[in-house]
Amino acid sequence: MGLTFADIQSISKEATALYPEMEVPLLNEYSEDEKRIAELQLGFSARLRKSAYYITEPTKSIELPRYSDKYRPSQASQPTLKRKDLHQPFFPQEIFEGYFNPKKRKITARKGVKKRVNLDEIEAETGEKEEGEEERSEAGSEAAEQDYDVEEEYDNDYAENYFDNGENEDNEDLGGGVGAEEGGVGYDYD
Amino acid sequence: MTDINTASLCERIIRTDFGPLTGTVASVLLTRGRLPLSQIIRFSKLRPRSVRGAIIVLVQHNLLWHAETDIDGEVVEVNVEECLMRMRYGKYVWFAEQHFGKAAAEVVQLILDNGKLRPPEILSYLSQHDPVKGPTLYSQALHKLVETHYLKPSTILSHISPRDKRIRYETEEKARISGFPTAKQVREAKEIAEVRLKREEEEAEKVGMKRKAKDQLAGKSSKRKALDEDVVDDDVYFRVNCEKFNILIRNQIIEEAAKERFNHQAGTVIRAILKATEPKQLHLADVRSDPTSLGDVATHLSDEEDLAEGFVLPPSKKPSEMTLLKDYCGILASADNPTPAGQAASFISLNGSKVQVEFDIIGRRLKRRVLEAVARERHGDAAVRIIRLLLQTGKMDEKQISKIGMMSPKESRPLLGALSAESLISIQEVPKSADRNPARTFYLWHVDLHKTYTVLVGTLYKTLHNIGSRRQAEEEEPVVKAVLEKRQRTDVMQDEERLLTRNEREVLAQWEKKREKLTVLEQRVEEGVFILRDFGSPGINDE
Repeated sequence: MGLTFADIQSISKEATALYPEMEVPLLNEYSEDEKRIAELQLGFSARLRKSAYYITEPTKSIELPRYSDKYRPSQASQPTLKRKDLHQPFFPQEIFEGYFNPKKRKITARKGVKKRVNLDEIEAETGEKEEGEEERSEAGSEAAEQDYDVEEEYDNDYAENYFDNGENEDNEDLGGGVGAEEGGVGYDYD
Repeated sequence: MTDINTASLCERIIRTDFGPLTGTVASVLLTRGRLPLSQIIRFSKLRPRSVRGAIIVLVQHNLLWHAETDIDGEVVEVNVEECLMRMRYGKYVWFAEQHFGKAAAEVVQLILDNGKLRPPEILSYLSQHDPVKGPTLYSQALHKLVETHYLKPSTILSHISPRDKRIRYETEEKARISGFPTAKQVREAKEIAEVRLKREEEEAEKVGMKRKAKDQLAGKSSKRKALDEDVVDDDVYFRVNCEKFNILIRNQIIEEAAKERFNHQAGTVIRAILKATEPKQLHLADVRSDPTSLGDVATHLSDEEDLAEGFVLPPSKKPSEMTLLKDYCGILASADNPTPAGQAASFISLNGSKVQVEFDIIGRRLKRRVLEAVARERHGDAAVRIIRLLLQTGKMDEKQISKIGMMSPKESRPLLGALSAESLISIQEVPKSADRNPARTFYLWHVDLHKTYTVLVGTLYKTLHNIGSRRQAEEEEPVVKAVLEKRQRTDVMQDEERLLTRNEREVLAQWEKKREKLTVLEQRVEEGVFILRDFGSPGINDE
């Protein structure tokens, strides 16, 4: 089995084609009816693009303003969802209320968070500090605070301070205490 | 949770229609199953407000079910079937136009645009341009559509995930069983729950029409009965009944098949037969249609068609319409071939003077045709021979296949390998000895139709996904993208002739032609999916 030397010699030395030959399939002629159906199908996506059902987020552009910007469709020209167009019983209630009533929802969320983390004193302290800040600055974007709400559940202190990249290591004190090798947290016990 | 092909196709559909943000939410739900809001926010990494908006949009368009659970609170789940129906919306509107006219087509289009609507909203929106005759015209169209079940009422029950309901009913039924439940009791509990679910849905959907007060006819009312008018209820939200439109698609496919098999007039005959029972055809899963008499069919034949043209008749004879019709029905029913093979090739069944269209038989035949077409395209005629042989005989050994199929083993062996690699055929091991020694086992090849069709549907979904992404790629090509952005400008939209250069208009025309071709191709592939998945006989749903 296998190739003998004679076989190898007789193999052609030209490069083989990179891809095998392909028979490109052709689309048969289509009738007027099919054309009309295709038109109708594409119409749906086009109409939805301009409707209130197309969700967009406002983005900030870093480019310089141009003259033609006033002719281009802006964020304001995109219609938004209206509460009166939708029939409330069909939707999941919390999500519906949360979208159309952002202020009411914030207060109930805060209370919930606070109740759960009463045990941890440090957590409660930072929680109270945030309450104070929030009451002062209500105009802050809801999105940023909501993100904070989700992240707050994780205790990030340890994770952020775990990695010690060796910048502050004091190698002269090799026989030093236990705390010298730790990162930021360790300094307290120095 | 759905398999990868379905999930990516659904995500693409939602992304093109509703934008990238909603698309991301949908993809999270499709890959991970049903989730509560907080987890969706975490996985999608979007702003909570956008996620809430996306969920509301998807629920409005019937693409999302929601439920209330004890553990997670409010959860949402994607309704995959409804998502895939979106590919047929163009066809639905076209059918509405063909059957009921332009006004009905506009009503259907508006409802499809918005998911669900109430009659006053429909009428006020559509009558904007024509406040005089508009309302009556559109309300008539609406009445007709609701009456013939092309629109169905949208109930609160239809928004709750059916899986949740099923689990709840099953637990209730199981709680009634005292002691240890046997397998039979568990099965019975499941069936009772299923029946209860269906019954609830049907009752909830009867809400659509309400009766107006009986019209009091004065005077000569002895002959005329007091008319009980059914008026469309204004407070009910209506949505499109995809099942009924799918029946129309199915009927058209049957007509095309008959036309292809025999001739144009045979297609007309079968169309008349289908039209005769159309009002009563409500479910795709029906095995055959209701029986109708030949006289009934004759009334549905359009007057323009001359049935005699389909036959080669001696010039002197001029038989009546009814005899011609009977002859056609005989041909369609394979009356000349009463064997099982003839029956498998028939379109209708003729009992005395009653005709019934055999959906099951036609469906099975069409599915086999799709399978054979795919095999022929990928592996050639010899592969089709092998598949037909295996379908006819059941399970066969490799040696027998090459002998009976009249092929050399060198030819059949690689084909068998290639076909099984694509799951078009499968293998059954029959061991000769107690240990499964490969040298001493029979390996029998066979075609497992259910598995094959499932695999084919997955492949077709992949094809549809590719067509969609090709269309998107064409749109995002730099030259085309620049021209499209320019076209979006408000000043250009009003005066395209002057403000777009000739080059730009050419680029646009080319791009539109490509887009049209791709969409037509998509519709054709979608028809294949319809035949394999929705045409009737045991559907390939995994629940």
